[in-house]
Parts: sequence; C-alpha cells; structure tokens
Amino acid sequence: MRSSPASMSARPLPLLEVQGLTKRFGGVTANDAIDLELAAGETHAVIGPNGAGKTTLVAQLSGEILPSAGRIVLGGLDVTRMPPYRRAARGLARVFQVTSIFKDFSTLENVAIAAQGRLSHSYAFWKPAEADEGLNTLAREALRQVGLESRWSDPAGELSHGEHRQLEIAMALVRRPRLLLLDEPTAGMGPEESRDFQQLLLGLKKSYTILLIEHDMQVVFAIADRITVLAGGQVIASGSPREVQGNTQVREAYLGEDFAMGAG
Amino acid sequence: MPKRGAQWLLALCLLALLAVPLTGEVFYIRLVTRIFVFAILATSLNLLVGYTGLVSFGHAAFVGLGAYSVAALGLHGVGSAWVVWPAAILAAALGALLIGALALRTSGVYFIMITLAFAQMLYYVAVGSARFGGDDGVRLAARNSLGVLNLDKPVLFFYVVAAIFLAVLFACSRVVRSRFGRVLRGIKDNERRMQSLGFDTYRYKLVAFVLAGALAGLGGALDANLNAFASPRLFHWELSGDLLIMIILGGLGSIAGAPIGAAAFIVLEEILSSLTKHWMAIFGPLMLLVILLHKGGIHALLAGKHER
Repeated sequence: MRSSPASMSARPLPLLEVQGLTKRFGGVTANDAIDLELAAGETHAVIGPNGAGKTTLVAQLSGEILPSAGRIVLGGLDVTRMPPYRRAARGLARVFQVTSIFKDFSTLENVAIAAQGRLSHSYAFWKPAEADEGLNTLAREALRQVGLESRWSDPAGELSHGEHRQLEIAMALVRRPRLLLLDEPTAGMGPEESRDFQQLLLGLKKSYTILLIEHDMQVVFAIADRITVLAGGQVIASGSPREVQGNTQVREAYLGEDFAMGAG
Repeated sequence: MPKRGAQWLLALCLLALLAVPLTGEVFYIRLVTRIFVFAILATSLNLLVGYTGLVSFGHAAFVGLGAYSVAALGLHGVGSAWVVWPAAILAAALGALLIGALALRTSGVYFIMITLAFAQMLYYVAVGSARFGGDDGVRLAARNSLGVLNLDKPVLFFYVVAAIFLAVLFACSRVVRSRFGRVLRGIKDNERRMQSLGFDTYRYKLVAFVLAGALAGLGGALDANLNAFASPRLFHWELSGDLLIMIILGGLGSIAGAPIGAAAFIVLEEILSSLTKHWMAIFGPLMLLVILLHKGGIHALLAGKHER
C-alpha cells in the first residue's frame, strides 16, 4: 500500500517531509530539488553511487549545513533553519557514518550522556553523574537492546569497529527518537559483521521510523520498505524495492556496479 | 608509583604546606599563600582547558578584574571582605559573560586569539587609567577585613586563603563529575556529537566560561590582598601564559593537576630565579622533560598512569 503513489495523498501527515531541498557549493549543485517523504513506522533507504549527494543530504537533514533552497519538515514542524541540537530535541537521532563516540568515556557513560541529552537540561552541578541511576538504567537497557551489555564498563575507545556501531545505535535508541537517521551504518564492516548488523536493523525496523543511507545493497533490500535513488544530486527514482530494481535509469546510474546483487 | 602511594604523597605535601606557618618565617608563609592563590587560578583555568577543551589565552582578564575590584572599592573606602570578595567575583563573572559570549562564537586558534585580545585590551585600559595609577597600579591601604579576623596577620591570611583553596578544589571536583561536568567533558571529546545529542553546547561552554572567570576573579581579589597591591600586570598575557604552563605542567583535566602545577611552577621560579635571572632558560627544558615523559604532566607521572 505504501509503495503505491496513488495512495500517498491518503496517508496521514508524514513524519519527515523534504521539499525541493537544494544545496549549491559555488557552481556545484550537490543536492538538486530533492523531495522525500517518510511516514511514521516506515523504513526508507536512500541509495546512490558515490558523489550522488548522499552526504550533503544527511548534513542538511541533521542541520550541520543549511540548504540553499527547499524545506525540511519534521513532525509537522519546519526545521529547515534549526541548529542540530534543536532538531535532536525534536526527535531526530543520527548515527554517524564515521564512528563518533566519546572515546574517553566508558561504554555505559556514552549511552548515559546521550540519555542526559534527552532531558530538559544538564545544569546540575553537584551530584555525581555516574551515580545517577535513572540515567544508568536507561543506558543499560539500550545497551541490552543492541547486545552490548557485557561491555558496559569498558572504555569505549577499546571496543571493536562493529561494537562501536552497536554503541552508536544504543546512543540513538536511548533518546527514544521519532526518526532514526542511519548514515551508512555498515560502512567499514566485514561481511559477517554486516550480516549480524542487518539482524539488529531488522529488529529496530519493527519499532522505529528509519531513514537509512546505505551503500550495501543487500542490507538495503533486506530492510527497506521504500527506496529513493540519488544520482548527480537528483532523485532519479523512488518507490518499493521491486519498482526501483526494475528502473532502467537506476541501472544506468549504477553502471559498472553490481546492482542486481541486492536481489539475492 | 602506585595510585594509592601518589595520593598519600599528595596528602602529605598538602599537610606540609599547611604546616608552614609553624616555621614563623613570613617569607615562606607568603610564598605558600601565593601557591594557594595560584592553585585557585590554575584550577579555574583547568575547568576550561582541561575539562571543556577551551584553550583560553586571556584568563588574566578575570584575575585583573578581581584585583581591580578590590582596588576600586578600596578607593571608595569599602574594605569588608564580605562585600569586596563577592563583588570581585561578580565583576569577573560579568566580564567573562561578555567576553565569553563573543569569544565562544569562534573556536580553535581564533578562540585563543580573541580571548588574548580581550585581556590585552583590558591591560591597556588599566595601564592608561590614571585613577588606578596607570603603569604603577594601585597600592591598597590595607587588606580587606573579615569580621574579627585581622587578615593583615600573615598566618591568619594564610589559613583563610588555604581554606578557600580547599573549598574551591572540593567544589570543582564535584562539578566535573556532575551531569554538567559530564557535558563539559563530552564537549571536549566531541562537540559535534554533543550537538547531535541535543546539547546546546554554546550555552554550556558559556556557563563554564563564566564559572571559571568568577573563580579567577576570586583568585585575583586574594592576590591583591596578598600583595596589598593591584598591578596592571595581572591583566597581562604573561599571567595567562603562566597559568597555562601551570596546568599543562601539573596535568590537564585532573583536579589535582592544576594545584600541583601551580606549586611546582612557583617553587621552581623561586629557586631558579635566585640562581640566575635567565631562569626561564632552565625552567623551559625542565617543563619539556616532564611533558615528554608524560603528556598528563606531573600528576600522571606520580600516579603512574598509562599513556592513552
């Protein structure tokens, strides 16, 4: 039902609405009038060859760069000009492409500080944060969800690459996000790690709205309800995995890359 | 040396310092009082540099504001420490709020430069102000009065400053472990990530900047009392530089590090400058040696911490 364009107007207000999003760097148009819509509960993947403008799109969605034109509406609120921290407060949780954790903190403290960020403020100057059982309980629960509870006391810098990605997810989950923005979560993973991670994502899919930026086609086709394909900064196709796979423009964009592999 | 051993050693050093008035030697009492004053200043700067990752090269601005608050109120005949010291803290906090609000819009080298520029600006204001003696600074008629305590007695002043130092140290050790302190440490480690987690990092940095400035103002007021003198040099970048050296020498981002660095700096300065006026030529290499041995400074060396 979701995949059919005809039914789109009948859908409730989308959780994320991107309209005509454009970003120009000098003479280069990195994002050219991108439209995107995400219904609550949906897992939507954005794919595209290198240089398609995925990174620019993520940076604009998270608020790190401001668009040249267009609108971003999150949960009915125009967030186009909002700084990252206010978008985060509106329920956007981003998982970074390059692992971005607090390496000097323990694994638990990484998640606890993420939980702290969800609270109204952190102007509490006297009580030790480490003994804050409210935060610690939330953090342990999130670590358990991603299967990292046994490493809670280890310094985050000592975790493996795959564990870092799990930790990033836990830091996002503890924020009870309305929208999970996963930026190439399986980047740099071996095939086996990638499969395990895919299982984790399949689990998340049940309870979260996910915007997934991913290059691993197998992961994309395994978990996405809808796919948007970027090439040269433009949306060249959008629809169900089956529709996108059959699209000749998409096949051309991926010329030389084994696109059909995703079907397997 | 094991960690516990280092803690005992530090506690012993502190006790030894606190026992110095027993010698009755005014020279040593003043020297150690100075160590405590600078330990307060270094601790306040450590909150910024060591815990928040904000390298301020203009911390002297707030020391000077604290000292000149004492001088200004003194000129108007206000001498009660209960009034003057809070006023000094407030003046420095306000200065930090204004300077921080602007400087924190930048980061990295620009932040270093803009904090330096503000402090130097205040330095030239102080030098150019005839009312405050210009270049010569202001001589105070007397130390501030603290109820029945006569602070003009070196031993009494010593213990008042020591008590304030210990209170500041304890408070800071609580703050850096609090939820607020955790946010500061997070900003130091990865500010971009903190923003994506919903933290308005600018405001947290500003609060830290004001807090550190306020403590520096308190230290400045104590310094003016110690010397019965407010010198424009307290605004000068050399003081900002000395404070940075102290915290790097002692250990960035450890609560004990800043006071250790302050003590080491002042004791070495005292010993080396009695040998030669080019004492910095000996001090510089010594400092390099410590940092090369362990970038965590003296405190990390003592505690036998591993390099990260």
